[in-house]
Amino acid sequence: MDILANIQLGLATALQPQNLLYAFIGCFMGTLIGVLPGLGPLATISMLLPLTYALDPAAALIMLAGIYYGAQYGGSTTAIMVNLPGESSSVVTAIDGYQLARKGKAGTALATAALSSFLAGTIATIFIAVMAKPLADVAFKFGPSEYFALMLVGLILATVLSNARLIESIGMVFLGVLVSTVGIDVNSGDERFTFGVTALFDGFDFVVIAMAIFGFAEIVKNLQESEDGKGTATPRITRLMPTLSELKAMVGPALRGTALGSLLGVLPGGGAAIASFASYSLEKKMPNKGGEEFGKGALAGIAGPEAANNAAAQTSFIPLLTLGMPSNAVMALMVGAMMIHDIQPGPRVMTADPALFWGLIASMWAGNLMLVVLNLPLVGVWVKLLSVPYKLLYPSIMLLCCIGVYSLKNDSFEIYLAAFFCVAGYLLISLDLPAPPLLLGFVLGPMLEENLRRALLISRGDVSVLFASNISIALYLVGAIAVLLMVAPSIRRKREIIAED
Amino acid sequence: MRHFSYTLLAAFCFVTGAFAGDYPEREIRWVVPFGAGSVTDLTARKLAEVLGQKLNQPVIIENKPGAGGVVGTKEVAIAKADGYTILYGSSGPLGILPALDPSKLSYDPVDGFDHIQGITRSSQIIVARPDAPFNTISELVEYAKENPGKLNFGSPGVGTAQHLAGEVLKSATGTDIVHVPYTTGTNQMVDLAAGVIDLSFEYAAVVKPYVEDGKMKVLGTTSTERAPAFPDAQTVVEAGHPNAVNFGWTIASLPKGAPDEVKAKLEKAFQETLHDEGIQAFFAADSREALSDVNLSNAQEFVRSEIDKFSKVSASVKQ
Repeated sequence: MDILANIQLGLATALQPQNLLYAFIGCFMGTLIGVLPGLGPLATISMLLPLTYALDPAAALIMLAGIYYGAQYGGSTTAIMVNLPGESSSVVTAIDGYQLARKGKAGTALATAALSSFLAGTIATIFIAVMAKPLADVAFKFGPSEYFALMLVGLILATVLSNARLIESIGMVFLGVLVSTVGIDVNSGDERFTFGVTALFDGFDFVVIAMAIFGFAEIVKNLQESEDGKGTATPRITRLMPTLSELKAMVGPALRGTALGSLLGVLPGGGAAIASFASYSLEKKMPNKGGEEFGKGALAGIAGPEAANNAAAQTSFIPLLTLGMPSNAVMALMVGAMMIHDIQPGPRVMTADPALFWGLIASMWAGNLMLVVLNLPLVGVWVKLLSVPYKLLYPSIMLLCCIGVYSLKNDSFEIYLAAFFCVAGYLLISLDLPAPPLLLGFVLGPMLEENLRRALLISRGDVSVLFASNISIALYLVGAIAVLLMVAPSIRRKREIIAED
Repeated sequence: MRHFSYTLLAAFCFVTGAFAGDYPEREIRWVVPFGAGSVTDLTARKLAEVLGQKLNQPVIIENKPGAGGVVGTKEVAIAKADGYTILYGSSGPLGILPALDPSKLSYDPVDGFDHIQGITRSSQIIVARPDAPFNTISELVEYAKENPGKLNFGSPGVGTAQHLAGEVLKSATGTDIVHVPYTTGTNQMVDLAAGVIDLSFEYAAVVKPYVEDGKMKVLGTTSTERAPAFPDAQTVVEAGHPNAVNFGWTIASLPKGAPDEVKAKLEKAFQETLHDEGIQAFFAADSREALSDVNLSNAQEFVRSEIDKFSKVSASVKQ
């Protein structure tokens, strides 16, 4: 009963005309910046933060939250249309989405992404309302050794996920982890692989690497393939909306993705990214009915991960609102926004300011609805992008990416780094090596190392601490099962067939 | 294009000699060497509004994050000393990092700048996991002496003010407590509340919600006076360890060699800003104090003495 009353309070707050308006503004701007490759929610929210000084706290947070999940929607649009994942969570969407776009089914892919995100958003909102309090206690049970186990399983899943030969996936994961070690070591404060360059002290930024490898390198390859500068000529687009059978096919993956995403989003640190990767590998393990091939344009490869990252993006508000713990950089900015309004994020928000807490949650659902309404009619507009001649399209993409990369730190050094990784990415593509495992290794590697060393530092070097809790043991079991599945003969044969193609 | 026209304008001002007397004639760039949304950034943006009114020119915040503030601090060190580029200096890049490893810096923290006016000063609150077998600083020191190497404390990273607060206490009391670095302050707060680590030296605004919720307990403060937010917690001085006093501080600084008129004008504008009622309420809400008593007359000396203080413990930090 309590929950119903809370949701009612939340809806009453969220549906006030003023708050609805700010939710709309947020979602609209979020979609726009998500579609522009390079300009992420981080840059936008920090630029708009001063504008929220004058707003009432609930309206301010609702608008900023709208930008955040609007950008998630927009980010998958670029991932599908031009193979440019703006965030780690849409890397997976690009794998099958871009293939679909190249087959002339961009509209179906976009609609699938929008609809499964909405489904996930609706379920995740209810999930937050019911589970926020108990889940906050679960997060308290995750110490360094449990996080280490989680990251390890994440990396194992990353290798299972890839379409490439096993040895290549493992190699790319290791390469990603290696690249992530550049910068100042958290434990000793010593530099690693920086060659004394101050700009490298903080290591490489994820956005730089993702844009260089997926964006720039891909463009170079496209230009090489068609010397007339036309690049990837996309076939005529036949249909925008998915058929009924396609809709049916996406419900299962979307529901499974939502479940995974809702759970993983609660854990701080790359929850959305892990969720979308995990969902993709789960879908690959599901009995394949439609005969779709993953990596070649499978709808389930969009529906699952998109649902997962949207659910995770929403449930990542749970650690923020209940523990005051931001799970990523955007959430850290939300903490800043709350503090401007004299709200100290933490265990007290829920009891001290229930209208704000439940209003924000209800506005997530309202925002998701707006995004579907906003995005479905726009699908046609985005698809038209593909009919723009490639020789006009690619310079604009590159320019926007450069602006985005520069705005990360207001430093042109980041653009040079992107140029370097473009060459590296081009080599990878030319050698037919899979890039997604590299990226996941890069994201999870530092967390793996940090938590392992922290666990051992606290235990004074006693290794048994890694196996001391049931949560860790359960996670290791999941990892072991994944490894077993991977090396099981029947599956291995299948992997190799796919790799041969 | 905008940049170019500013350069032109600057060149023009220089040529005509209409330089210091009419300062400021155009917008002022205030470099914050930390990311957007950080506490420093939010404070700077709030101050910039008021400061802009006092100077009758807009003050634009520019975030130049990287390497714990070193990147942005260096950017200002090599900027033109015309008063149109100000640094949001802080204890990390100007005090702690120079003490830990001066060879890593490409600027001189004291003589590379004209430090103008102190901005804020915040002591750390010493907090412990709720079931820790001690309740005050004195009991903590006693326990740590009986159990050398058993206790640990978290910090948001090597070389942060919170880390050094722990090191300063260790060196002042002769105890052995293990440092566990994190990358963000909030993760270590959650680990402390969950009992994964034993202690932390954090700012009042950060620990307050956890303390109110009973997830951690306050042992004391690194200040010379009791914290308004936790009036029952003893200070390190009361516990008999005056050498363990520690503050994180911020300061407004210019590149070395700014004209005296510019320095005086900025000092005045900053002092007026610090006395602004809204700003004072903003600081009080976070349990921070205005660092008003550090000004043109003693700022260089202040930075130098802080580096000396941190240098005393740097040997134990390097291990």
